[in-house]
Amino acid sequence: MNLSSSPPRSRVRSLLRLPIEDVIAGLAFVVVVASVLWGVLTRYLLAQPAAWSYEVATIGFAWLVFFGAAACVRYRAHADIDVLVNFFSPAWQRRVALFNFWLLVLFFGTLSILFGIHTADAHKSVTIALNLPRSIIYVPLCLATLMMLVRHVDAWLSVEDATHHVQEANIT
Amino acid sequence: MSVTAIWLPAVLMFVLFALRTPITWAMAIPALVFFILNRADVPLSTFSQEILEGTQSISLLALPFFVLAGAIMNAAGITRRLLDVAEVLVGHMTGALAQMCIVLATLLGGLTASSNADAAILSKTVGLQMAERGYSRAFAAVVTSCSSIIAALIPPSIGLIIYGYLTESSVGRLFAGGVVPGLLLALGLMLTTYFVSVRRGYGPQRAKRATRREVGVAVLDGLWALSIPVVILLGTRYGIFTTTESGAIVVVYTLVIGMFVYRTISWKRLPSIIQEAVIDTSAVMIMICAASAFGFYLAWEQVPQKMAAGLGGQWNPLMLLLTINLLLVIIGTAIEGSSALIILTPVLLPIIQKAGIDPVHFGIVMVANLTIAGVTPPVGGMMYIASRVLKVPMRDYAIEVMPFLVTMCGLLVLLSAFPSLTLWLPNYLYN
Repeated sequence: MNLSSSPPRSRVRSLLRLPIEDVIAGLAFVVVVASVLWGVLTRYLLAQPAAWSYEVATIGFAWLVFFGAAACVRYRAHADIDVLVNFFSPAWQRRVALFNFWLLVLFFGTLSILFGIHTADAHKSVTIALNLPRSIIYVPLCLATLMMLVRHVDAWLSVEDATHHVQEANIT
Repeated sequence: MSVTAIWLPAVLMFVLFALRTPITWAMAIPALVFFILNRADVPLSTFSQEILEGTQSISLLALPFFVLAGAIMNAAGITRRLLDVAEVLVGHMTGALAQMCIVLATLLGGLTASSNADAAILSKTVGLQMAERGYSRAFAAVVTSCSSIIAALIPPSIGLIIYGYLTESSVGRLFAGGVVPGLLLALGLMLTTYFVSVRRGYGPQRAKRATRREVGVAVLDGLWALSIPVVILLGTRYGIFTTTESGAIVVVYTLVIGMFVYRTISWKRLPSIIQEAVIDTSAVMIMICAASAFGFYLAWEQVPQKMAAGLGGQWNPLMLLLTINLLLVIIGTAIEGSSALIILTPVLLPIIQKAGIDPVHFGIVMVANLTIAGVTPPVGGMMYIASRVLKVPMRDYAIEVMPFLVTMCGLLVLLSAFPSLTLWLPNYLYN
């Protein structure tokens, strides 16, 4: 992908096509699995079990879930209930969709600010085992919510691409 | 606080549900409204803490592990080996392919943890074969989707992990509690399939019953996968590892089987397998996070306690369970099962506790009921998956599913009336 030679708008679109949140969530997944396994191994193999393993796992879990949720916004994998809206006329369905679009823009925008403030607050305290700033747990909330806002707007603007995005989550 | 303000977030949530706002945000937005309205009493930072809470739970850590293990198993081609086991066990029976589908679902239930994943596997493998060999497409879609319900009961099960977290019940006891109901469901589905197959003349797959040697060879080939639920139950029972740790161990175990024993997975495929697991995990986990924040509102305003008090005096446990079952069946026709589980469990828990019902018993009944909701039109995840793969109109599916729904409703009544069916194994293993 040559980003430098394309015009700014298409450069932004090309950047948005990169699965950034998938990569971050995937790496967090590996960290979670590895740290829990390390905890089990050290309990049986070493005299001193790793006290930090669950702390790292839960930090990784937060990164996995919130960036994964941003990916779900991108792939439109968040479940909804369409029973009532399906009875509406196309014009009213469009109005409901527009309402949901602006509602979520407002919600994600508010959350990004709120989580940003709490991340800054949490930076002053530290985690129990590793003495890391607690902002490491809150920062994925802030960044991923911002990512959700971007993905939500992008998905709205590129409705024609929707069929390429849709994935189904096996959540039962 | 005024009565209007107390009920405002709950009413707002239902309005957003009706307006097709994604369920996660339809819970999170009213929760945020509650925190903003009550910021004088509750710091706004509590909202962030509540949203984060689910990801800081050790018991919920098991969820991504079992989802990933299931994705690895699918990619490893374990289904074909398990299908061989099913073939030697029931291939001689009337309606053999349909019976094989149910047995395969029971075996897969111990590996995949997700009914939707099972519905996709079963419809693409056995379902398509059934359609090619003269079974009606609607019957094939119904058998594959109904069989996938078994995965919700046989350990490991995502629904039971979520329920365990929401009710602070032992996931190990819940896993053990699901075994007998899961096997009973399989038996009920096989009987229903038998009667339908006799009436329609669906024949056996093989001329005669498999020999002991044939059974032995097939079981040995699938032994690596078949041993997983046993490893989980025994490992947690004897304190070798926790349920969460068993999930991480199963991930490595399945990876080793796929990469080195069956040699069906390469390093190149791992990113796509992990991505699939990320989406499946996050879609449900973020819903739990939103439900935690909404649950704070419910607890603060004591909404479930008010509802329990509103139900009046002491309820007969069986009557209460049957009433809740009926309510869940109705709700399940409109809302996807796991969403309903996350929304309703915190509301129903105080009510069933007041009636003296064991939370493990209730958990199995509730998870079974809400997973059955996945095959009830017009909204049902497994129904959608199987119908889409097999190209079945919803009307045909709705007619064909009726005898199976009767059987499954019968099972729900049986499980509600006889708690010992659910509780004897957890009591035997853990007491």
